[in-house]
Amino acid sequence: MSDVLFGPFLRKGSYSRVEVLDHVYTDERFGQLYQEAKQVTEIDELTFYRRYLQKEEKILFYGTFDPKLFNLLSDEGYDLYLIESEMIRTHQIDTPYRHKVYGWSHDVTDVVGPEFFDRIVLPGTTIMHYNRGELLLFFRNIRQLLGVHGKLLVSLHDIPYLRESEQSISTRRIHDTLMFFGHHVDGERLLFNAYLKSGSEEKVSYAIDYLYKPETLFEFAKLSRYEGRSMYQGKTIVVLEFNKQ
Amino acid sequence: MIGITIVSEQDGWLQRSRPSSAMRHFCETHRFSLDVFDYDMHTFEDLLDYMDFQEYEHYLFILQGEGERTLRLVAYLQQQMLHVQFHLIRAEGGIVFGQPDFLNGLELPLIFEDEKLVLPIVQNELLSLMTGVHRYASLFQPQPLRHVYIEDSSLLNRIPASFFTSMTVNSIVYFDHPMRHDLPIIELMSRTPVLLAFVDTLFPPLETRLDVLSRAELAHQLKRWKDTGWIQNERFAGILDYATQAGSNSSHRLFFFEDGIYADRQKTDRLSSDISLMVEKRAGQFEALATPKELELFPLLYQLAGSFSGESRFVTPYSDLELPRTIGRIGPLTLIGIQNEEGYFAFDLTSMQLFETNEAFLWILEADQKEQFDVLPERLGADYAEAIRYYKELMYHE
Repeated sequence: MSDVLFGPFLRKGSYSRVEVLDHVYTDERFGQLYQEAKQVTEIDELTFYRRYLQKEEKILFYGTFDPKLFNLLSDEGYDLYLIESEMIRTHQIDTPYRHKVYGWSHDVTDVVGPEFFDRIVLPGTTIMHYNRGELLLFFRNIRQLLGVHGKLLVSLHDIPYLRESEQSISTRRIHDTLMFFGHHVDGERLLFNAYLKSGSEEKVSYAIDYLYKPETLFEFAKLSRYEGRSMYQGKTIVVLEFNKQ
Repeated sequence: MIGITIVSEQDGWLQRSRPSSAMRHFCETHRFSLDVFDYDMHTFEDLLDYMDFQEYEHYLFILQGEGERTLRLVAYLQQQMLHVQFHLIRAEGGIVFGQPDFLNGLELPLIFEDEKLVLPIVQNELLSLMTGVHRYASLFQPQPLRHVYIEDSSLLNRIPASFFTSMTVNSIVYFDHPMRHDLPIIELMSRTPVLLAFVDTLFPPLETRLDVLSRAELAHQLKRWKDTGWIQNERFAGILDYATQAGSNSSHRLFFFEDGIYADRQKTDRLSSDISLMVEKRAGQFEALATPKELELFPLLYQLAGSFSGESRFVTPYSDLELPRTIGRIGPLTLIGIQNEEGYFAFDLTSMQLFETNEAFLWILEADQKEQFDVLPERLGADYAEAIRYYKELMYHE
C-alpha cells in the first residue's frame, strides 16, 4: 500500500476499520472527486472546443466528458460522439444525442465501422492514465477509428508546475459525507489519494497517473505513425495534437 | 502527529506563507506535516475537519505580521478541539499561545521570505460583498459563503450560531450601523473568530463609491462595450449588485434584513422570510446579459475606466474595434489595452500593473488577441518591424 498511498491517506489505510478500494470508480463519490481533480482549469474548454472543432467533422470524445458541454456543443451543431462507460453520466446526455454514446471503444467500431472519425479528443488529462505499454497500444488501436487525415487531441499537466506547486489536501463535504483528497508526485507517477467518512463508514482509495513530457508522447506517437505538435503551452497544461500519417 | 503552518496577517486578513526550503527539510526530517491552508477557500468547519482527519496531537502556527485575529482563530480551534494542543509563535520566536514544549529543544528554521500583501484588502472584499463580483467565482459553483451583510446587530440573536462556522476563514460580517460592541456582537466574537466591519470604519463611505444601474442600463453599458470598446465610469469603484443584475454567478454573499435573507443588497432576490433558517443559497435569477467570460471581465474594465478622466476604450477580444470581436482566447487573457484622453496604456492582468504605451502597440495587441496578424503590415507601414520587435520584447521577452 505504501507505494500507492501517501501521508495521512497511508495512515488511514493502515487502520482495520478503514476499507481500501483499489479502484476509484468502485465508489461513485471517489470517482466524482477524481474526475473533478482531472479537469483542466487553465483553459476555457467551451471556447477551446468552439475554436478547435469544425461542425462538418465527426468528433469522438474518448473518456469522461462533461455532459453539459457535450449537450451544448451538440445543440450548436457539432457532430459529437462519446465513449462513456459510467451509466450515471450517460443519462445526463440529452435524449436526441444518447444514441451517439458508447460504453466501450470496440462498440464504436462495431457500429460506425473503421476510419469513421475526423477527430478524437481525450478530455481533461485522460492520456495520463495510460502507462507506457498501454499508451503504445492506445496509439495503435485508435488508428482504426481515425480517418485517413484524422487528428488526435490530448492534454498533459506541465510537470515542472506540478512539482513546484503545493500539493495541499482539499476538503469536500457532500451531504453527510466528508471527503479529503490530494496529489503527490512520486517519480514518474502522479498519485491521487482520497479518503471519505460518512457515519461509521470510512474508505480510502487511489488512482495512478503517469507523467509524460510532450517530447516523450511525440516519440511514442511516431512509433505508431502519428506526427505530433504543440497546440497550446500554458502555465499548468500543454495541449498536443497528433496527425495520422 | 504534529502539524505546522506559517500564516501572515494584515488588517485581520490571513494569508498562507510559502515555507522556506529549510523549513520543508526540517519538517521532512522530523516527520512533521507542513500544511498550507487557503484561508480564502477553507471554512472554519473545514479547518476543524482537517485537524481531525490528520489526527494531530500538537499544532503549531508560526505568525508573520499582526496577530490579533490569528490569536482568536487559534483560541477558537483550541476551544473546539481539546484533544489537540495548539500553539502560536511569532516568526521571531516569541510564544503567543500554548507551550510548544513538544519541540524538545529542536530549533525551528525561522527564516521567511518577505510577504507581499496587497492593500487595502478589507475595502476590496467589502466591494465584493456589494457588487457580487469575486475573483474565484468562475472556478466552481456554489462558492463557499464569504461575506455577509447584517442590517442591525440585534438580528444576530435570530441567526443560528452554526451559520458563521460555514463561512470561509477570510470573510467579513458587515453591519449597516456605526461601530458598537453590544451584547450580540460580543457573543458573536466569542463564538467564532469572524472579521467584523461597520459602516463608519470606511472612508469614503462604501455606498458613495458604488454606481447604481438598472438591469436595462447595465445591458446598455455591456452592449456598448462589445459594440465599440468604450466604457464610461464617473470614478465609481464598482456597480451595486452587478452580479445579480447581470445574471452571473454570485453565491458567496448573503444579506440579512429584518424581513428576511436576500441574495442582493437591493433586495430583489429574497431567499427566505425567516432569518433563523439556514438557506440553500442560489445564484442570480436573471438571464445572463453576456457570456461568462465577458461578465467576469467587465467589472475590472469598469473599475479601470473609473481611474481615468473621461471615457476609456478597451482592447480585448470581446469588442468590435479595428477588427471584429471574437469569442476569446484559448488561454487566459493576460493584457488589456486602454485608450483615452490621457493616452495609451496596457494593464497586465498577471501583475495587476499599468504601463504607458503607444497606439501601434494596441493595434498589435488587438491583432494578437484576435489572431489576425495579416492586417498589421498595411496598418503599421514602415514601422512594422520595429513595432513588432518592441511588442514581442514586452509580451514574450524575446
